[in-house]
Amino acid sequence: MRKIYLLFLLLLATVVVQAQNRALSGRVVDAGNSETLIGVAVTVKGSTTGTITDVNGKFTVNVPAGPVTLVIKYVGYAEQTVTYTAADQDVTVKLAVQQNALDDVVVIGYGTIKRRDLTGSVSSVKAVDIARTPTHNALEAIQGRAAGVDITRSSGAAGSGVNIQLRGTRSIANNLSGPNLNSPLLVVDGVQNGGSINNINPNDIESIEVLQDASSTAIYGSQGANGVIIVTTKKGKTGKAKVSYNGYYGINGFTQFPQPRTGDDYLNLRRESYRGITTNDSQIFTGNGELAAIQAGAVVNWVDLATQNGSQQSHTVNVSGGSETTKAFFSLGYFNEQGQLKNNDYTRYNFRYNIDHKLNSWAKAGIVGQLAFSENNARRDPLSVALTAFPYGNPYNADGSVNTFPISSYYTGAATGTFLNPLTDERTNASVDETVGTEINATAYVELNPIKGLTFRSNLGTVLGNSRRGQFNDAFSLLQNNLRYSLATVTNNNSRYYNWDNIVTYNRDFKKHSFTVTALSSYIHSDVDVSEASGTNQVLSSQLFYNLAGTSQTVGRNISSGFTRYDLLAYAGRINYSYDGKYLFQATLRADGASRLAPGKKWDSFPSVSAGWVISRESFLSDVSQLSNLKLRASYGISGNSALGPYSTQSLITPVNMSFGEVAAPAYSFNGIVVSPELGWEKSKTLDLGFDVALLKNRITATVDWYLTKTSDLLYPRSLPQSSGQSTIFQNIASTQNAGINASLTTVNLQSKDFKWTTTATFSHNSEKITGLIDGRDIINTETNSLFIGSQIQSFYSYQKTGIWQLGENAAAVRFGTTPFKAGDIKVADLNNDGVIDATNDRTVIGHVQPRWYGGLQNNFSYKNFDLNVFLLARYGQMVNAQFVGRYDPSGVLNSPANFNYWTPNNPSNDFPSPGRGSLANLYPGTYTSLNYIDGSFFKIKNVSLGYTLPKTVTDKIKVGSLRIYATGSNLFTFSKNDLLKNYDPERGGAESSPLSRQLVFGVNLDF
Amino acid sequence: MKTMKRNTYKIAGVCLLTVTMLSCNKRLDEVNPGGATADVTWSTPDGFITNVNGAYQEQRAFYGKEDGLLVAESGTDLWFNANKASYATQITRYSNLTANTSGSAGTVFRLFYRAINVCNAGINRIDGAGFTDEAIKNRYLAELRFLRAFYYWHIVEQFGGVNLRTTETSEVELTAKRSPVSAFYDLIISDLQFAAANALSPDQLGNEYSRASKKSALGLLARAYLSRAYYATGSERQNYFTLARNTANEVIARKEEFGVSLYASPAELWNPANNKRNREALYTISNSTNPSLDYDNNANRLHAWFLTQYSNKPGLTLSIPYGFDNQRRLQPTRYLLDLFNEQMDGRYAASFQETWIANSTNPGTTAYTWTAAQAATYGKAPSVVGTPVVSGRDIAYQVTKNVVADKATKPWVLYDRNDLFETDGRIKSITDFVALKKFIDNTRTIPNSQPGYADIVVIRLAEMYLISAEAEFQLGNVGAAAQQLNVLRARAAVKAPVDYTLAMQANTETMLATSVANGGGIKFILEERARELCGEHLRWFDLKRVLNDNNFASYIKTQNPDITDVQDFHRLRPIPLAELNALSNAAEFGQNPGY
Repeated sequence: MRKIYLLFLLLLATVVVQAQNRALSGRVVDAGNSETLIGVAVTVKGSTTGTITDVNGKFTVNVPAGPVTLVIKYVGYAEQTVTYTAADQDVTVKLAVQQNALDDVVVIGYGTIKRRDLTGSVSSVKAVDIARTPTHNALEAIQGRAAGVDITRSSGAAGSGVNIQLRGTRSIANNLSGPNLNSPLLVVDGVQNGGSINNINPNDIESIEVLQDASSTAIYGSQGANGVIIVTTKKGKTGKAKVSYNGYYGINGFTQFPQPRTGDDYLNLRRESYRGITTNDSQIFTGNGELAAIQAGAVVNWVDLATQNGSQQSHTVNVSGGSETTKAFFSLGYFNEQGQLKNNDYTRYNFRYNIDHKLNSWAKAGIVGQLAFSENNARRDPLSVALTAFPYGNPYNADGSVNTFPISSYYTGAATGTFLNPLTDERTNASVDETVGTEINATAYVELNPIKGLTFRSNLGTVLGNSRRGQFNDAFSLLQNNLRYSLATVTNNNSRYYNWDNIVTYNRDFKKHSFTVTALSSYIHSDVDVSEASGTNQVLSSQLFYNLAGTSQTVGRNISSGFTRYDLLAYAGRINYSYDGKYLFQATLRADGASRLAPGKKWDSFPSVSAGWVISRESFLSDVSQLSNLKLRASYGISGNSALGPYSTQSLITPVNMSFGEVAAPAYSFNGIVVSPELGWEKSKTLDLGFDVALLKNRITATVDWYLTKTSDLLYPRSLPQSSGQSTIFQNIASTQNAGINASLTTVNLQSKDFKWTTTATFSHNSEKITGLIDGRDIINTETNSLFIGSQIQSFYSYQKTGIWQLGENAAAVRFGTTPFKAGDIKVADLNNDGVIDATNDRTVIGHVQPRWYGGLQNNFSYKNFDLNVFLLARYGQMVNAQFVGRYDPSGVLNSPANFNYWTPNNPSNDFPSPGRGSLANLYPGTYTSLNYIDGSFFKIKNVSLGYTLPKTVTDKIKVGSLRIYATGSNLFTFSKNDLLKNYDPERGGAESSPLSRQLVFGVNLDF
Repeated sequence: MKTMKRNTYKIAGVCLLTVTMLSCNKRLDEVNPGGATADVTWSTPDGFITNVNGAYQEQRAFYGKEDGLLVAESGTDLWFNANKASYATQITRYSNLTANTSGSAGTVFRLFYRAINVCNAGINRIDGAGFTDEAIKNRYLAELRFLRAFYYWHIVEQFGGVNLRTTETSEVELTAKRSPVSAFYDLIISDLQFAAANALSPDQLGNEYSRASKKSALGLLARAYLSRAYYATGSERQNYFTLARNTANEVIARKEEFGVSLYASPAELWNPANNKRNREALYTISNSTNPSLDYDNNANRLHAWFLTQYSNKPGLTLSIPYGFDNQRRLQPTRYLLDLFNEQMDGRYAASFQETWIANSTNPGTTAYTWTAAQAATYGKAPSVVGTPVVSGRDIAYQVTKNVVADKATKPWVLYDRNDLFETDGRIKSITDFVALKKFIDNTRTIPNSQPGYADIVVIRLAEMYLISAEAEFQLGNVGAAAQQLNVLRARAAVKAPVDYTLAMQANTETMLATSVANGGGIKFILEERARELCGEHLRWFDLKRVLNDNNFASYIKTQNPDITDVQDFHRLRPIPLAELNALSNAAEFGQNPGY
């Protein structure tokens, strides 16, 4: 304080002496949220003149006449040097939060650490970036922003979540029902599995950290085998209360989806399928009323009718503030998405409360949590039906209602038929699938500091969930088509989860040595009960699922219930040591016990070690001024995964429906799984080598990690011979290896008074392979579920399509089984050149689900009050199983996408085989699936956001702190390598239901 | 010092908390109150019944489902793909039939072995189930052994000497060995003998009439003896034919005890009103109108697969009595239709539908009046234009195996023999055919719904006469064989206005004594089986049994010239690739020959 007075005196003296000087005044704000910054040091370059900003962020400094350069410095922000002309006055300086600032506190497992002391591989995404993507799901918001994390949105349905995977696939037992065993652990405010990420308002999140290497995740033991994502919500800060509002509203739609054939395009395919048989339309279009509808010219594009432009909006108000003893953060959030299909929407309300209270000098306590309420109206996706439906008819009745049987008016007889309108579920009370869910997260903690350096923290996190799913489908809904009776179902799900962690930390520094020792115990308990009741033939369809007593008493009532519980118990210890901030070391040991493993196999322990060397602090590099930071890191550790669902070591039988006459007969059958009590933990050993470098005063920062993970004892539900009467047995069967590189690079490309351009690129490459299988033999099950030594886990095993047999070629020289090929058939590679295509010798691994590489490229531009963010995303080298490609129906009875080029004697296409009377599977058995597997590589403009921050003069006038308005477009353009994926967004794989839609939203960020 | 003391307390408190937490190790025991394990559930008499009931399950995946029908009836002399469509051609035409594309046959392999495992579990666990009454225990054991024999009979006939398992699979088993066909039959026969002795009498079943009873076990035993005989030679062969005859005759002799009898006419037999608790049934798959009691939502879809499309014809609309015509799978060959002399044999009219009366309006009202455009579409003479067609009275649609001389002038849509078939017997029409109506299902309540809830008769009394006749014939007793066949032929005979009973019986013995080349002998028996049992899940097994590795393919090609890909090795289906891939000794186990 005294120094500042001195400084002032000095300044005063200067003013007096240099009378020709002028006063330059201005304001310093945070570039991200435009908050004013207090106590920022402002100095005139090349002099000792300087000042600091006041409580309003304002400063006045005396400068010489003429152009002047100011240096602005503030803890936690990047230093900025700005040049002003003589005319400049009332300038605004925007300070950006320092990227990769070494003093940044990084949240790690059971504690925090300064980035400079970190020895593991941790990526961190801050609030500003999280709130940038208009989505309800915070993980979608960090897509492409953290290297090593592969995130894709799982579908375009309103409220749908994401698929997430860290550093490749390790566990194989993935495609079974149950939890995704390769998904990382989510830790919310210190609570493992602290609720669903879908229920957290992205605006409430302070940061998301992704722990990737074994030394970072080891403290979570078996829970962390697939990486850990730590979500930290915003906390109150001491100081004046702040209120802010963030919101947007926009359109959700413009879906990319293949257009169906219409008109002659459709008719020609169907006629072509009768080539050489008949040309008589009355023998070709034999369905009830088909020919008459065609003659009437009643063309319909069902896909157009089925899709609409929905909307998306989000509104969050939060209050934050606090005194020396009590700090609080509250927020209220609302999110609503209307999907691209009618009656598909998602609404969520969030109430968050985070309170910290200091009891006395050595104790504090707090409560953190939220209540999330969501309502989701799902809909059976009509697009596959719309794409394949007969493209003629009267979609609507005269009064505008949906015409249940669209071509019934084209034939005599009753107004029924078998061609149901693809839009049938849009009829009032025809189809409802509503899930309302409440999730309460309540975490309480107490933290004691009995003596200096010793901290004891007890953290009890609870997640209480309940949801009710109500479904009703009437006799003419898509679901009950064929059955023709209504079905009403109510499913209730109640879950109780708690995680009680006790952590003791002791920290001691002496001389240049610094130690931190952590010991903890962790207990997790989860139990879920589910009950379901259903009935058929609801008397009043308006009662939907609300009154199951209205269903038929005698016919088709069903009830069921279930219960699942598991427990996990763990003890862990960690030691961190640092010498002079130069040599860093960490060791962790964790013992884990899981209830789901068999007695005797329940416990195992997992160690890890890591070290870091901050070379830039060595004296021999102190002269290299361009080098701001250089750190080498290495870590090695073992983690485990009990990749099984609860009860997987119990031999269970399942109830089946059985009756004799009209007499119900209770019956059980085997569930297909033979158990082996010998099952143990999967183990992954990971070596991670990395470096962090910062150059040119942090204008260029980069982090690169190379890793090698060897996983052994992988659990796999091995197929048993069918003659055993059982399907699978879980065995510790395989080993895999994942190696890869993750890199991220941030550069400040241009920085001047008005214009700033920064770029962040992330790049991830992972190469994955199976290194061993139990008896050294490949395991061949289905095309998408087979294992091959040397290949990726999720590989596609099929025939390699090389084209279509053409007229001039000798197709008959090759046979499928005993049947010779002919022109127009699918041509596949005869790998062993024996002239016979057979499943044993001619199928091969033709591709895999995981990409060769993926990356994100974020460019931020700011010019005066404008800011522009462009975010690009790419995934390359993955294969997709494109369902809609398999929709090609050679008989034309079912419609298919218009851009599919099929073979005819006059059109020697190599894309799709010749039309004919039968489905693909019937005309081209075996080989037809080779059509579906195509290259899914794409590059897309994921987000473009343009914002404008209103000038201070305006915001002062309207009495607000700061105000930014913006427009953001998401999923804007996609460029796919394979032409068949034109008109389709392949981000979510090849599924045809609920394609991804585009969003265009307009929003404001407002602080009072 | 004071601070020190306070700190000590604090640290002690911390340690206490931590220690408390350490003591919850026992919480790692799994708690699964809702789960059921075989060991617990099947160890009491009440619980054990759930095993017996569960063992029936996969039969219901076969009967009333496509896989069962295609495997058992198609690919034979009687049927071809409806409308000549390319559907399941591996099974219907033997095209592209490989280990990896074995279609319905592969499904049957998987499901029936699943069921066999449940049976084996029950058979080997029943002694530990705590039954105190030996009779009750044996009654359940009889059901299980009947079911195991049932499943194994299908497996051995379809796939030959494959893996014969008699124990429950309870640990990893990756090898299999082949057992000879005779070993399968030894097990099947001993199982059925036990079942015949110990199963309940039909009258004890009450409302649970579709359980296996004594009549079911004897019926299946007769079938098993007959097919077993064809694998044998010399005296062993004679022995099995004798057993087949004796067993079939025993069923016939005990029919009053069993409460079964032949209906007076084929029309009564196939009257949908007689479907439930059919008097002729020895073993039935029942379906309930309550979908939650059925195997799956599909229940029984047999009704849909033999129908021609009538509802797109003028004057006709989908109806319950005419059935659901949108899922056509199989149509009769000319050979099958020509087996019947419909003037004399009532089975043709009872089994096939050739005419449809207009039904699109209320009965008695005009359904439609012929327009010039319609006349042109259906190839009618101008004279029909203006003719009204009245619902409930006038024919709207006719498909006939006979030639109609003046079809252009008939005021209804008409396809005759020349429209249906090429002169060499191949199918010509791609739109219309004579429909098999045995499975018309009046339990359906909505015309355009697919599931039906009718029962399926798996073994019926008439088959016993046929088995007896075939065995007698093979034993050289042509007279006795004719006598048994004539029971059925007399029942089949049209009785009014002219009684053809004697005419139907007249040539039977002569035909049996005639050579196969002249259409007699065993060929006559095969034909009689077709007339009586066509569509009833037996034809493929009949051909497989009676024909051999030299004439299987040529016989089928002759009667059903549309099937061109059939070869003699198709008498066995391929072992599914999924089975071989899972075996560590696949090479030793081996694929069936030809595949």
